[in-house]
Amino acid sequence: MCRAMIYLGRPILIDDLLFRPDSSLINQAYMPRMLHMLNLAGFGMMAWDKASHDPEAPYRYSSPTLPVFDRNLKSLARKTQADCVLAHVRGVAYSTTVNISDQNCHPFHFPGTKVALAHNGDIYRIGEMKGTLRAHLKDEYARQIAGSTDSEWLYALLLSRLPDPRREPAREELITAVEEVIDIVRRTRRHHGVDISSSCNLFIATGEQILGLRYCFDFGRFRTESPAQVHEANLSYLSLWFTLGREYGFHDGEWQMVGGEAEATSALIASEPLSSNTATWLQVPEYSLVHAETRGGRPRVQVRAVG
Amino acid sequence: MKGSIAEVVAAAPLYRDLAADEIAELAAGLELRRFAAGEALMMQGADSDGAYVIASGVVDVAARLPGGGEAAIADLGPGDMVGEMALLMRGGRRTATARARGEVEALFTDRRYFEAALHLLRPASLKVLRRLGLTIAERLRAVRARSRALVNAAPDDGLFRPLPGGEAHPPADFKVRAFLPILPCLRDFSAAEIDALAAAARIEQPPRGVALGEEGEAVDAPRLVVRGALLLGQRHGERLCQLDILGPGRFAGVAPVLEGAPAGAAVIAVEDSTVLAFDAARFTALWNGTDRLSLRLLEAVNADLVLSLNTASNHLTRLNAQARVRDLARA
Repeated sequence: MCRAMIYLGRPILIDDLLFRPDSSLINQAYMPRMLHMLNLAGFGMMAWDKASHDPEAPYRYSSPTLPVFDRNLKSLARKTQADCVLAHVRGVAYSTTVNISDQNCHPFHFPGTKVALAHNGDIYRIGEMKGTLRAHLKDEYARQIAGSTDSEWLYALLLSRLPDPRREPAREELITAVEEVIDIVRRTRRHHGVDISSSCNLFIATGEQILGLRYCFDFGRFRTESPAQVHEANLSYLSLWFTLGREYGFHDGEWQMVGGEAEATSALIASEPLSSNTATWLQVPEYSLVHAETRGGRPRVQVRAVG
Repeated sequence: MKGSIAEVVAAAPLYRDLAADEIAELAAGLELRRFAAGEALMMQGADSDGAYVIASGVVDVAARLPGGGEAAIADLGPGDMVGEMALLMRGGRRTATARARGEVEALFTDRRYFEAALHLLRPASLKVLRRLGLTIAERLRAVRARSRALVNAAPDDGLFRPLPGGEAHPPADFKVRAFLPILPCLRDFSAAEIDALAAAARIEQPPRGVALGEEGEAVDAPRLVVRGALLLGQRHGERLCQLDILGPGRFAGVAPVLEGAPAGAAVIAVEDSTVLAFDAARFTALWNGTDRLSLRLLEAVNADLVLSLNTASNHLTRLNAQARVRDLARA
């Protein structure tokens, strides 16, 4: 069912997000605290570093293997800083029918566009709906879908709803595009008679702004043929948390954000907190999004209900 | 400490329903602990191992804020209880830090001792469990009132959502009883206990957007969500401020029925839903019972109230944090 996180703010050692906290994203691959499924189907990360060559372009690392054993990733994470990071560990159904490949590793980012996306959830019966959803995709993005995930279709839909995916979207443009994606999928589900709960937590980053969406279509509506077919995700709303402050690091014996809102320069959004102590984290409400940007030197964080 | 342990217990509001012999039984399981000024009775985030009744002195309770700093929550004195969530939920963590302002004496109830007494259906422990539930319900009401005051003082467009609507799915035709054991709140119930509980309820299938109750009105029936979800919210004209989302296995309207109070919020189907609507009198009788079904129901409802309180507290902290960030942006 996946776990993901996005960071935006002061340059941070990637190791301090991915590996070192006691409930770091990599640890969540095999030991999530708020999910009873493992996330063993690959890892992916995009990062933006203003001090790097061509700073507006993110760099990417992904692998369909287990990240906890990935020495290359650990070696890079210990030496690399970034001011925006979007990372994801993939969880899928335990089935031989699932395609584990690099093309299916999140985040998704088509060349030349500003926006990257990762997804935590599962759009039920997406295969039947692709024909209808295709009508909402711009050809240039439909052509670039390379994998078999529902998530890449959500990404292509998002790009198709942005006025110009090649430039940095204004905050309202990005939020409106996300809301339109939700509306399109909702109407498509209705058209196909799909009414079983489907989680759609999205993690979106541009290097300048980040957005986390906590959403579920038809929440709580499980299949009614047999109790044995009811999945954990049909009964509980997938979590989404955020924290903000001046600096994320190891302070007073634990991993936490320090500095308070008054000095906030950094924000972190995650499927679940990166530390077992959740005291400094806040939960994003159901059917809501959290958006953060640091443009203009002032923190701007907004939590907004999505109808 | 003034008086014996039994006298301190007798004076605590939490134990006011107990008879003298029940107080004596309970007092035998309490441990007197002393704290110096500034010493922590409990730290936020630590494992919850038990609860304290303050015998003497003052205890400051505070919760950490995202990004650093703390917000004062309460100052407690003799007779007050702190850390009682430990008696309601297994494996939980402290949600606040409690520190002695000066010298403090407090009576500690070990969670394991309390659990053992419950397992034996000791009347005193059942009464304490009921009183704990009502205490959590009171706190929930207070926290939501503070949130409401914040929202009313500075309405932020982002806090409001339109009323749930859209075309409803046809009511699902399925064997509701067969699915009750998968609900998280009923997992400890035996088949016979689930049958007895279900016999006290009727099935409702409210489509999305239908209101099952309004803020300030009497609640006709406590409800349990089987499928779909209910939204708990406050109406602001044509919009809603969402307080909680109650999915499968969550209760709605229990606290007002038990307290005999009006509903603190509107209850609206946010998805096409299937719910059990309990006969209020039968539900209250089960809640006040002394058998294992009553214990199961008490535990399930209390766990649900704790979840609601955690959500409400998080909501309040988030509103405070957003207000500070908004003020900064305007400065």
